[in-house]
Amino acid sequence: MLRTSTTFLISIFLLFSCNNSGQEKTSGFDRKNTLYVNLGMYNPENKLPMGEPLKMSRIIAEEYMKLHPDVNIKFTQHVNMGTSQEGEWLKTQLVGGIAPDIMAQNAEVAWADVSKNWYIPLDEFLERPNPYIEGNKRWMDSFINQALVNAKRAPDGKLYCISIDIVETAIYYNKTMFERLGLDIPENWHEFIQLQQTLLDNDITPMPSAQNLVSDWGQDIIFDMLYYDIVDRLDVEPSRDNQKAYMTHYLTPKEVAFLFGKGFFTRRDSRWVEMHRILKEWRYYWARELKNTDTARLFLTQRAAMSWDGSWFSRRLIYDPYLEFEWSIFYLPKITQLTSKYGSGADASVIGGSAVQLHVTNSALIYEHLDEVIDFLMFYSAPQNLERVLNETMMFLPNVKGIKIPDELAPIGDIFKRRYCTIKWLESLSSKYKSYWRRTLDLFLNDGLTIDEYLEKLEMNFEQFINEETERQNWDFTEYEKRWQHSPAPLE
Amino acid sequence: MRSDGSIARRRWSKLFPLYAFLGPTFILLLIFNYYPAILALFRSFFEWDIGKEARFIGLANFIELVRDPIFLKSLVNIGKLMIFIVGVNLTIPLIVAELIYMIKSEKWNYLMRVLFVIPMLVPPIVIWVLWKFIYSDAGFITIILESMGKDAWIYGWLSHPKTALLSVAFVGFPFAYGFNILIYYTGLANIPGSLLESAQLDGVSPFQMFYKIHLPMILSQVRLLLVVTTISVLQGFESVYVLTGDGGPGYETMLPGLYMFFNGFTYNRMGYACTIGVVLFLIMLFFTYLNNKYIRPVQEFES
Repeated sequence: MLRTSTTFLISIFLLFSCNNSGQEKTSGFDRKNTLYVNLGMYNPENKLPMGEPLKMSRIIAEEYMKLHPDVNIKFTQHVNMGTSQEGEWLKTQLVGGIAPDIMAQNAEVAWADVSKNWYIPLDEFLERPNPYIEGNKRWMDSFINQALVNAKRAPDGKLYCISIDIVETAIYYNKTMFERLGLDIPENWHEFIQLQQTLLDNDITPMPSAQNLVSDWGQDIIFDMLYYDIVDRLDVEPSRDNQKAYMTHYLTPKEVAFLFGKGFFTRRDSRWVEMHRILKEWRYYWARELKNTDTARLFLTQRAAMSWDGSWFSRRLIYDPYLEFEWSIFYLPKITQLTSKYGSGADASVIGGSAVQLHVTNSALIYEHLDEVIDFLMFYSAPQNLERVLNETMMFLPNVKGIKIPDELAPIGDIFKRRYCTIKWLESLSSKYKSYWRRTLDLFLNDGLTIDEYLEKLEMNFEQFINEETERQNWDFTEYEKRWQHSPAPLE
Repeated sequence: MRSDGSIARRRWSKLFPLYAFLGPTFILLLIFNYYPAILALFRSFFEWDIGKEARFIGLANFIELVRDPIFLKSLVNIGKLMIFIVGVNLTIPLIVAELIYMIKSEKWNYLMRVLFVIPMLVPPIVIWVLWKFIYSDAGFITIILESMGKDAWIYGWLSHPKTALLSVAFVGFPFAYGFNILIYYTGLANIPGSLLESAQLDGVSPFQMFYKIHLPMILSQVRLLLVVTTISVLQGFESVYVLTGDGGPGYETMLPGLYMFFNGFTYNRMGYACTIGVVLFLIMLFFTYLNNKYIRPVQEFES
């Protein structure tokens, strides 16, 4: 009995001892002077395909700490926030008030949560000078493509992130294979399909791009080309001045709702039907297993001839020591009358934009160091610092003035000079309806639905989304109707 | 003669340290298991977007759930998966355990048990990622079929609506789970030798031996594995999440657990996600009750 009691008392003592040591540790932790930072792709120690783990952001943070000895910067582990599905980690951190002060996050994902005061609007700070850029009087002026920055304004009109870089897509192709088979870069969509058929006849997968990329990007670009002739009439709400250079005639969800009421984006809309016919026809040249195929592996092992990918793919190709072929890039060709009677012959638009969007979270307020957080962001986004980060990663183009684009990425920069697409379809819908669309598109592209069944389901999805948003946001279409009466667009 | 009070005191002073040792574990269980579960039940009556004030809506979530075609589809999917997985998880390890039991050599018997248990050390995520590759265009199945000239047999295994769920179900192939084999083997090893000897003296065939002696004597193991497998299938969605990412194509591989996850963290409908959790709990409870009521080992019948 004595032995048992003694053991018990010792255990209790040890338990409390552990607890006490924990308390000391906690009380020694000072978050006020410590900035927690998650730079997404640029986070130090992030292991990107090929090359050494990244280190430049840490070097820059160390330089900042030398300038400001009272500030400590810690990097949180990189969490892939590329899609909303990975957002659960951040949500729990934000609810608990322990999120990193600076967080890389897709702006569209953050928009759903801005009303919860989880993110800090940056408009006021962007009007201030950036002291780390010589002669700068307004931080906002340091960004190259301001329309691109403004494109990330939340529906409430505020800007919750800065866009320091640019991502664009390109079709990467195996130049050696093309030369061996006597293939040329296609001038139009008709040639593009013929090219893919030739590759297929040679037992080569023409383009193994993952379904979410092709269906997402693909439908946006095909839509743009088929509606090119009438898009100015569809655009019943002209773009805001600060977005015009980048998003001319961009269709907002409210415009989509109005146009849906006019019969657009339904089975009555011939261009809409045509867009999906072209998408489905194209699908037969992609990998069979769309959801999970490692597209890079197929391309790198020369089982596939092309890969439609983001500029991030360049890094893999640039640094791969085992690459046995020459590669280059081209962009999607124009759709002409040879493919569709709605083929406008206009150049394909681009669907890229800001890559790593840096948000400031409510932690900066909770721990009373918002000014320090903004100051570090200014330091990080100054050209002399950001250039080192971008050159280390070799994935994205700069969106800050005074940074030279590396030669390897220059062709991507040329593609980005094209006009921006008319709409990012999937981003236009709230997550529930977006998810339904994506899933239904999955079924359609994989022979689970006929085009008619698919479009019927899409109409139902639009209808529910529009009803919900009209009620939630009190949409009034009177102004749109006036503009529409002045110049309506044809359905046929 | 000692009083009842002093006996009780002595008993209590003897047992107190034991209860005290259990205390921390029980407190942790309360905080991390019971409290969230009770909170989920409570929240299932609310509209709750994480980060915003919750609003009481009574049974609205439950009414929506029973009419939700996606949830109903996920129940059908889990039903199909459960029939398949419970079937193979209970039969194939039993066959393997029987075969090992029949090995007379101690050394070989032990070696076989070890060989079947070693794969248990591989984390499931590795298996799922491996199968994801096997199903891809660059994967083993496609390459074999291509080399045989059977292009018409090749599918996008996880992308095609006809093959997606079956492909998910097939991931455990060859379904010889070490844990299940060990449980069965323990049951078989515990059958009294006298019973087996009398059966042999009576001249029973190997099939009769299995059907009339082995199986009734290991029903408690069958019951255990049935409960464990049913619960893990109903709760699980990780394999589908890794393999298809979203329970697609369409909703062909959507499972209730995955739908709960999407509602909570993608659609910001935490209250609705709690409702799904509560309904899943009730379904599990129902299956466990059925299992306990109808599958009883021979020893229980005798007693």
